Amino acid sequence: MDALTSIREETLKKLGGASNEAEIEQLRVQVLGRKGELTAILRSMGQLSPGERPAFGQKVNALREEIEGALTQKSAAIESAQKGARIKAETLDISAPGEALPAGAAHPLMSTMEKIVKTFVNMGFRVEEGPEIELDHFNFELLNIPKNHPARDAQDTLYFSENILLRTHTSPVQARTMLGQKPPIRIICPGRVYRADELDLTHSPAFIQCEGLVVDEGITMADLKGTLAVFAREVFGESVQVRFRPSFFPFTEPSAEVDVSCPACGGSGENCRVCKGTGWVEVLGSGMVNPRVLELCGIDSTKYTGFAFGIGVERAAMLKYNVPDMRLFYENDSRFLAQFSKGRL
Amino acid sequence: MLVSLNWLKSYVDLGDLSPKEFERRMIAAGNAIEETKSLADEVQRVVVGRILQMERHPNSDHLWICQVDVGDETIQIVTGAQNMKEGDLVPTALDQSLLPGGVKIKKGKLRGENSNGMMCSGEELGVPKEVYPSNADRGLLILSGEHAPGEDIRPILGLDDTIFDFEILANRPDCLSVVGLAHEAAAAAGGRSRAPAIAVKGSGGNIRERVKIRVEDAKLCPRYAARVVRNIKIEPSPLWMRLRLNACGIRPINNIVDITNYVMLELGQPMHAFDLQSVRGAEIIVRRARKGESIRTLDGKDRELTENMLVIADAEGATGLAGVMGGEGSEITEGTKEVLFESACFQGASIRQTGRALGLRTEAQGRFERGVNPEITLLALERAVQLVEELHAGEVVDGLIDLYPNPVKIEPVEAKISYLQTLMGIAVPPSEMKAILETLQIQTTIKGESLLCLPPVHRQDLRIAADIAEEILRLYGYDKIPTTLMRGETKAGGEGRTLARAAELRALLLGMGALESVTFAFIAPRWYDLLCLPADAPERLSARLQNPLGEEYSVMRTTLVPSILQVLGLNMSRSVEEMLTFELGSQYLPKSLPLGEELPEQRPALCIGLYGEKADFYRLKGIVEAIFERFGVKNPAWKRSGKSYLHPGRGAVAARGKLELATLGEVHPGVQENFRLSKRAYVAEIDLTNLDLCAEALGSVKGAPRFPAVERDMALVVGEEVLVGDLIASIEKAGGALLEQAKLFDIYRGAPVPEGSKSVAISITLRAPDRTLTEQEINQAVEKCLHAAKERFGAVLRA
Repeated sequence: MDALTSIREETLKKLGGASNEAEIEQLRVQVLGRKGELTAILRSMGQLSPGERPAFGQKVNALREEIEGALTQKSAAIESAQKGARIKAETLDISAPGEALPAGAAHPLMSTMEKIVKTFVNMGFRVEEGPEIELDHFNFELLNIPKNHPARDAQDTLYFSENILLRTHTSPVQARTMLGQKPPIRIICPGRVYRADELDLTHSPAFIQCEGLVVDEGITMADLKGTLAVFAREVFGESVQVRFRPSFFPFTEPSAEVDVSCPACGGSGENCRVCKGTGWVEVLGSGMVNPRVLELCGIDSTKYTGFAFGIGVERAAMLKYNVPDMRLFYENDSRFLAQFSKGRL
Repeated sequence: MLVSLNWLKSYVDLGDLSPKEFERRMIAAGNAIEETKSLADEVQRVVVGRILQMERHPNSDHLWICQVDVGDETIQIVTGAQNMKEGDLVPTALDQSLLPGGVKIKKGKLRGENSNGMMCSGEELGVPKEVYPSNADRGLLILSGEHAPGEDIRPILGLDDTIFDFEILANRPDCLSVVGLAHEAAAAAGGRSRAPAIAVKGSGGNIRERVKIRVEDAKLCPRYAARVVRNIKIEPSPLWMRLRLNACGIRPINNIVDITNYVMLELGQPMHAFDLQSVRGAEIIVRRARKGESIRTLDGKDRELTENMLVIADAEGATGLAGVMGGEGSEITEGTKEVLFESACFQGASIRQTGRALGLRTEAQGRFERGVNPEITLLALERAVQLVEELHAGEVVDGLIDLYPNPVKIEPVEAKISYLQTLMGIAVPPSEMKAILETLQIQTTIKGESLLCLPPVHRQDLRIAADIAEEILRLYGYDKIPTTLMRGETKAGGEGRTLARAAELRALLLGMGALESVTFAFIAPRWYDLLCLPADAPERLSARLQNPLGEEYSVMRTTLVPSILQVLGLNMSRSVEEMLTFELGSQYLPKSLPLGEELPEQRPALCIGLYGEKADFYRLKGIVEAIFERFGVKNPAWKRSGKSYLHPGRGAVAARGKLELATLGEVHPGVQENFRLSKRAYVAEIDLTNLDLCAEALGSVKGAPRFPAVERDMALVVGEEVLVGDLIASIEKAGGALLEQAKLFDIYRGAPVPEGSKSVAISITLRAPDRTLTEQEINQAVEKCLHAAKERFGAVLRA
């Protein structure tokens, strides 16, 4: 009996001092192994009388189970302590910066154009494109701007020959579309256009336009206003206000300039450089398609009406991102462009 | 166009409407105002002062101490001016006063003496010498006439005014005049407008005995009217006229010239006055210039004329360019005794052509181009001679000449009410339409379902129903139009192939960290030289502009490469360490030169530029390959490129059959220098039309593999001349169905690999879709690969 007690005490004492899995394993072999102390005692049971054997056997087995349990428990405790230590040791300075992944950026003119186009495509407009090197016929004549008309002064034109020019707006695409399709027409024409303007803060000899055209029965100026209100909210934000002012374009009648509340000052106008204190900025020209233009393009103006508008993408991008100088768009300095990867567009 | 509110008010009753509210209503009605300048607000607390006493400043050799009566009191002012004397009346800025440009005047001390204000020069008040001649170059403005000390200076010097800069729309030449804008103001802001009342007394005589006038080309000159004034006294015009001209941005000259300008501003009719004594043969002929004819214009320049230019001629030759500029010989001078006032209407298109051809741009020309109404010709002429009488500038000879063979007819416009309401998007009641139109002097009757509208003579822009709709709407208020969305057949929108493709490419390149550029499509032809393109290179065949903004913007590019090199160069020069950029643009490829009726092909292209520490040929190629992969372009063939701008050993072209997809490589060192690139640069240009033609849809895909793959690495020693691409292709072919991938992972040169050879390390992946490969199968496949490499390229397995 004394032998069992001493094995128990000795083993538990050693286990208490064990600090790693190897020491535990060594103890297991020493006590429970084939040649272990407890095994030896079990083997010596033959010396006992048959009446004593069952009780003794039970005691040895109970001790064996107790020691096994203790070994397992200790082993689990050591493993858990080791995990804890490792996790503790792995603590990082989470304030240090992450690994820099390359962040590309779409050109602001392109992302603005995409945004505008998408807005209209979602309203059922289809994109139409046409040549930038264009015939005078499509760029001017069909749009109610005959030769030597003073309206040509407003669009100083770059010519290749008397009849071939760089389109001054994307309206020739509208003319081509009307000649080729029957109403209902609902198109948006994005693209590069050109005018003989020197490059400066607010002008560029080449710029990007998105023009739209709708022709159908019963199209009204209220439809134009509603459509452009959707555009303004999508591009400049939900809170933007839209204002229509009477104007003149040879290809529309009635015509309207469209202003939005100044994105820079929110429309207050206070000390605002962008809207010069008026609270409004001009973003596009629009109007009801002049019946003469419809007729020139083969559409019955007594049956159909329509509206058209032209958005300057540079102007929209300048307002949206508060860009002070149009030249920045065409210079392509990587430090200017990279900013457009740093925020929702 | 600059317009004085005071002048405007003499033709329209605006009641006590504030300038601010007037401005708001005019803008709402479509009369845009670019700038408003309130002179009355800019000048405050400036009054008439009488200099009672002047004495020398004790501590200065040029300052004066003046006692100035300013009405309520007499104040002391120290001045450096020298042109005044005791008893003079001068504009005096009191303590806490305001001068134009935000200048504030406060009392203070000048060299120890109190100065309680400032006596002003004309310049300080914005009144130039031409307007107030007693206003010396340096010194005070000495008022002429009788004024009481303390009187507000503003009405005296025309500073009690507001000046609007109206932006006149192209279809409204009638608004290029005070009276035209008064009609607009009446409609927009209420009140009644009127035209000037004309009464000419005359002085006997008969114009027909003095001059004969003949118009040879009535198409180019629909109306020509003239009157003669004799016993002219050339002198400055009166102050009120000078002030008004000055307020509207025109420099006063003398009474006769000022009258012509005054009438032009007031009624919109460009006028010309010329010295009748200079008219040879007492005869004026309006005709086209003769072949070889020339003229010296007012600006002293000799000008060659052509037969489609209209001139004013006398019996001996051309004396002026009709509607553009007078001739030097017929100018009004100090000695002019007899003047002919010309009021005419010339055809806009012809005037425009003449002006353009001669490089001239005058006020009169601009007005004729936009259209001068022939119905005001006579009114303007009568107004001019009426002013001559009022100003006592001469005696008006009786009678007038008016050549107007085909008077314009104003046609009534019939507009369906329902059509107007549809266009406007708002159902303005017909009675209200009529009321609005009548404020614009458009006589309107409601006739059944339509409006019958007769515009006034000054509104020749109103021709069709849509014009009437705009008139109604702009006065009814654009802000009252509701917002609706289109009804009718719903259409499927779509962005189209070009934009969709651009969006795909953009997304892919942005993921690689590229920055998108946008450059101009017109370039300098010199850039082709910088690219070292041979003289017969197809790229040099580019469309050339006739009137470019400069040589650097003169031809349409046939390649995007120089534009991208320019972008790389700019960034290098600004010490940007690395850049990956691209542009989605077009090449403009003429079918023949010079351009015929057939327009050039506009071919979409993608150009990629790259530089920096990590940049090399393979990085660029990897980007291009990623694009091919994204578009499903299978097995493009790679060949060396012979492009002049690429490094001969580091340039490649990728093609599928005859379709060239991309040209790419390292920029040739010479070209690198030409474009001032401080670092090696890499450029690729991809033909997007061909890319689309070679693109394949993804189609069906397989599930993820369920059996393990086996990798085997092999280092093959081959001669330097062997192309790795070819080696891998042959291994891929030899490996057959089991070979999933053959991938280059190293190229090694140096011992123990013999000189002239290289060791190419390739990792091959083998897999069967339906089983785990056996050792035997693996060995067989590897053996086939090695065999192929050995057979074709003499490859030896490196020990």
